[in-house]
Amino acid sequence: MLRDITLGQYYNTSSPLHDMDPRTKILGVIFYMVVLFMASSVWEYALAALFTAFVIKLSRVPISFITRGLKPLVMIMGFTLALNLLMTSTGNELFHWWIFRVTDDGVALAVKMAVRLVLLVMGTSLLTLTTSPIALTGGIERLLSPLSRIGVPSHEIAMMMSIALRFIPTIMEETDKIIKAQTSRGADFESGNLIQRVKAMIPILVPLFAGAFRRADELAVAMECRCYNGGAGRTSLRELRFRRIDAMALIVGVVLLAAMIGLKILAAGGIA
Amino acid sequence: MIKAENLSFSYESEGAEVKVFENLNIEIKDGEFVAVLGHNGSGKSTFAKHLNAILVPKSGKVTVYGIDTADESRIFELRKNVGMVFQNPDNQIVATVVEEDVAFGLENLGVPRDEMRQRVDEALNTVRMYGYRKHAPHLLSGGQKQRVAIAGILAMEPRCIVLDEPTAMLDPIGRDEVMETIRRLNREKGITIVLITHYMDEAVKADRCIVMDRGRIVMDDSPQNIFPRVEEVRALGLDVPQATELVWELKRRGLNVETGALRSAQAVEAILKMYENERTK
Repeated sequence: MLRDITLGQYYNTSSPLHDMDPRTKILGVIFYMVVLFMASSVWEYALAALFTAFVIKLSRVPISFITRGLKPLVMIMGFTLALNLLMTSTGNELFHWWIFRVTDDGVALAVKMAVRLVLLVMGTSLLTLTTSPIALTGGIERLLSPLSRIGVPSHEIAMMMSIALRFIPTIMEETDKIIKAQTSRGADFESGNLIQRVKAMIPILVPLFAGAFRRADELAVAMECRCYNGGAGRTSLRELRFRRIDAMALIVGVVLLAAMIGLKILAAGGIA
Repeated sequence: MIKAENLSFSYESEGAEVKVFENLNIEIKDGEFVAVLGHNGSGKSTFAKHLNAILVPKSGKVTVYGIDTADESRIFELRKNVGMVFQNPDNQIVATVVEEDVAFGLENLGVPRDEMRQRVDEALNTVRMYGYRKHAPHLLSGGQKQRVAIAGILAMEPRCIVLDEPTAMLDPIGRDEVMETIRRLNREKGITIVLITHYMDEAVKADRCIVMDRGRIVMDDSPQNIFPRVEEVRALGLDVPQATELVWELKRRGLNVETGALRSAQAVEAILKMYENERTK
């Protein structure tokens, strides 16, 4: 059902990764991406893959849950694979077909890109899988808060995100109702070409937007009634605490980065 | 004490001035349970919005616990004391977790975390939703959502709660849950309740009913004194409670029954008494 959809697919269980401070995890993902884009040799990729496997194991999220997230990316991955395979002109030619030349360099590059994409998606999806949306917005707010001094509305950004998350299921439910109401009046959403189908969406979108504006208005009044006055002087029920596990995670991150740089120096030494 | 003196309000629509009400005078005592009745356009909702300065008087004055609602510097003090619950439970819940939503008002007021935790738990216990504190609000029933909304207000420890048709979108079970909660808050915690409603079966539970019609107060009395005046009430476009209607209809058709019942138990009693009288005659 539409209302069961949760954004970001939070997987509720207990694990060291779930226990971490959302700030650590957000920083960790940024770190992870840097490391991943630094990787170039087979050994460096192996290190990154090993680390990813370790973190997945640590998260206690079933691997099937994580690979499911890869499905929507099959198209992009196929496209990247084909592009790298066919457009690389350096290296030794393996075979020739029409105007395309497939080289060993091309194959290596294509495989590396595919592995990088898979690791990237699996690693980053762990952030949303192990962090509830509300903890995530809380973490983002706190991470952005130093920037509020230079005018970044960090509290407002976090508030907008959490309200958006709150209203996704409500709006989904409403969309469902509108579709049923319009279908019962004889609206047809299933037949016709693409343009006709897009046009058929208008009777859904108009009431949906009108409804969303009405909701926004009512919510704003309700928030004011509960003394909402922006971020200044606000306290929070949720406590963010930097614990030993967070320190450990950051140390692991630094070790990983050091190992990656070590591998690079070794490789450079090998060439010289 | 809540006091409205010579309160007038109007809005502009297509260049013309539409008067909602004029020279309204209402006084609500501490701990009272007041139902405000009236059909659509009677001004009851607009009046409610004056009680915590969502609207400020065009002329006249509203004083709530000594605070003039037009005084913008004391608006948070005012809203802390007068909480408001609206019709649509979905459009007043801010957070994605029940307890976070209950804490919203306290977070805004800058209450320290330990105290907040305690007040949130207490409010959830009072509305009997503590077991749902970690739930996502969109998976709750309408009555449960509305109780969460009430808990969010309750955590701020208000002296008065204004409810603007809180049961209009609920099923009968949800309606009972909400009404039971409201009554308990009034009886046990002594919180002043202003209930805007068009369900007469809810109005009979109040200590006092204020009936509004086209911006005027036409009746202001206890439900026991208002509803037996069936014809007058109906002329104002309102219903009477079913029990009241039943005994009134019986009387009108020539049976010697005592009118004035507000609840079904009272109607049953009146009818039994009528038979008793017939027999002993």
